[in-house]
Amino acid sequence: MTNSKQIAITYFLGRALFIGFGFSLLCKMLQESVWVSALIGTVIGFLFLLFLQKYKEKHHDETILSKIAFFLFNLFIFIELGFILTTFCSSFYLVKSPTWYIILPIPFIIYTLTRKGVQTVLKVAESLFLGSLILYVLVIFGLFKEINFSHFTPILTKSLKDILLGSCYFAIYSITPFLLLWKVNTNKNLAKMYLFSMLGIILIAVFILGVLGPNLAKIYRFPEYMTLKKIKLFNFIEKVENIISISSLLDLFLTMAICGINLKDLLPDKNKKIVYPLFLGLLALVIYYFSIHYEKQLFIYTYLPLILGGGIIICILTSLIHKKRKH
Amino acid sequence: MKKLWVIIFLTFFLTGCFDYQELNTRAIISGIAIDYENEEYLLNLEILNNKKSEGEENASAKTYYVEGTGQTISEAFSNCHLKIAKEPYYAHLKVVILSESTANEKLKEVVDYFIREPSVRNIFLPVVSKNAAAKEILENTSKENPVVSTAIQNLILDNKANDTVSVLKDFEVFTEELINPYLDGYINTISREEDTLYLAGIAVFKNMKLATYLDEEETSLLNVLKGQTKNYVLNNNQSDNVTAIGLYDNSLNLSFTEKGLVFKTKHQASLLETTYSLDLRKKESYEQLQREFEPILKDKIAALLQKLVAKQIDLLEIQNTYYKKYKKTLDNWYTLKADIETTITLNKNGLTFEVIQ
Repeated sequence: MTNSKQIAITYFLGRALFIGFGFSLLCKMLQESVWVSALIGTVIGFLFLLFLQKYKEKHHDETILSKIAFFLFNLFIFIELGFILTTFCSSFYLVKSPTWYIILPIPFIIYTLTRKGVQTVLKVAESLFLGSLILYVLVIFGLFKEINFSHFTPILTKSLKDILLGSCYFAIYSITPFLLLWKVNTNKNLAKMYLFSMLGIILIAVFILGVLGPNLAKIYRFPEYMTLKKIKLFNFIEKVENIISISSLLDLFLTMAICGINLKDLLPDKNKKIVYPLFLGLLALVIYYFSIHYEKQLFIYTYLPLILGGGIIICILTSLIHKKRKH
Repeated sequence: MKKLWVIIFLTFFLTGCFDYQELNTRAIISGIAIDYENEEYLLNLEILNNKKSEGEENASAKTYYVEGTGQTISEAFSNCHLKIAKEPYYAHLKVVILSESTANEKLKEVVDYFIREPSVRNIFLPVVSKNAAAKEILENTSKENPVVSTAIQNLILDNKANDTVSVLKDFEVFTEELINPYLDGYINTISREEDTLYLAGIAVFKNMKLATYLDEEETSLLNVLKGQTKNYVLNNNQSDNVTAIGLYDNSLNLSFTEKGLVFKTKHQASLLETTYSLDLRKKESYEQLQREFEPILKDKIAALLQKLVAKQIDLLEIQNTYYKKYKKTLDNWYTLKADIETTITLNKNGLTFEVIQ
């Protein structure tokens, strides 16, 4: 994988799980201290990624158990991202469209991408990267004068336990999409690129807190989107939140594509035909199970970091078990 | 052939046509008035008329109004929508006018509705109608101001001379103040004299209820203390000579001592008018004026502070400042002794050095 492709894909992947879930939960948990946790979480994530890279270099064998664990992990993230995508689109973009109508083209496009392989997804990411970066710079310019710096004080109002827990949550939200690249041949700079991606996330957290304030940020479902509503460029370009948050949709879409490729690769060759029905089925599950049962949504919203953290540990443990057996 | 099928498929599903609407099928709502009477909401929507008006005399036809009532705010909106032939569109909402009764009794419900509703952009300006129903204010069109919501927005945002009495605060900032336990929220009030609308000070809220009003003079002084005005005029007409200075750069430093609170205010001022025989080439003349005006301003600040303390309204962010400094609450701030130190630096004298005799 070339450096430019890796920068592009890591930029998109890093942000995927923060939309509607990560930011909202962290703002509620940490309020003024959210940026502190973001910084500590980045350090934790960076160290963990370094460890994973070393681990990957030594353990590249796969067992059925580790394959199953990774398959289930991808399955869950695919559903999760499908749910975020649906909720986001139906809340702000296609308010009156039925959910099934919004989601119907997604499995089709992802299936097409998985057939073409990971290189196509990376090329798509590379070509979308510059546009997404320009939108990001526009956000920074548009929101800078809206920041109220008094929202950042007092520092460390939460207990050390809360801040550390929040940091771990941040690290889990940010690392999880990077684990999807486990099977992809990444170069050794992955951890450095993680830092680049996280710089963007930390800045978003700072803008949410600075613009909305801790009390308002914690009550919104999509605080990052509500922050974008304040953008006013040169005093006449406004109401651009829908254009700018297309970038978030790209994050979700590309992460789902990587997930889709992993799912396809993990299926035995004779079962490759079920890939498209699998995507369709998973997204149908999103529409007819998660989207209409609010208690399920709340469960995932609250316990997502724990589920993801558990998933990461299980994936690592399953490959460790294999190593021990070998010895 | 396969590619053709893909293109056909995507043409139908990736265009977003499902929600597509022409501009002329939308009713663009620019202002909302919310009254609360007899345990019922009375809602008035100001809708921009996107048909071309026929001649100048028909200027008032630039907007039309729709009214609806309901026991809840959602029901009132729903009843309003029944009377609109087009799709209501709230993305261009500029102003929401709350009547005194709404502000006093139903602010929590109103705030919850607007903050929850995705079709509304929360950057509109909330105002309270003073001495008039919200509906009366919203329907107060004139030839000069055919769209009332735009007129109110201009009064608050665009009239630089108004910066003494206007508060530049959108709904989201106001909501942040309301839900912040260390702040009390306040917004502009609008009143009318015959057909003319004007800013009539601010309405102050405590615990989601209308606590009191500050008049234009008190609001101006508050804006001085918050450093939000460049046009505050301070008069001294106690003697035969009349002098006026303009405070154009103001700051307040609040500190906490064992004895109580210390307010240190600093002001840059310019001389606006005087009948004193002063030679403004001499430093002493400036110092003399400064010495005269400092106690006047200090008395005004003390009077404002006395009113705020009496009502237990923390508009000077005493609790918030204390919390940010010490991470502790200061519930009894209104019982503390307050010292005020005022420093005026007169450093502009206009275009003349001498007074015309």
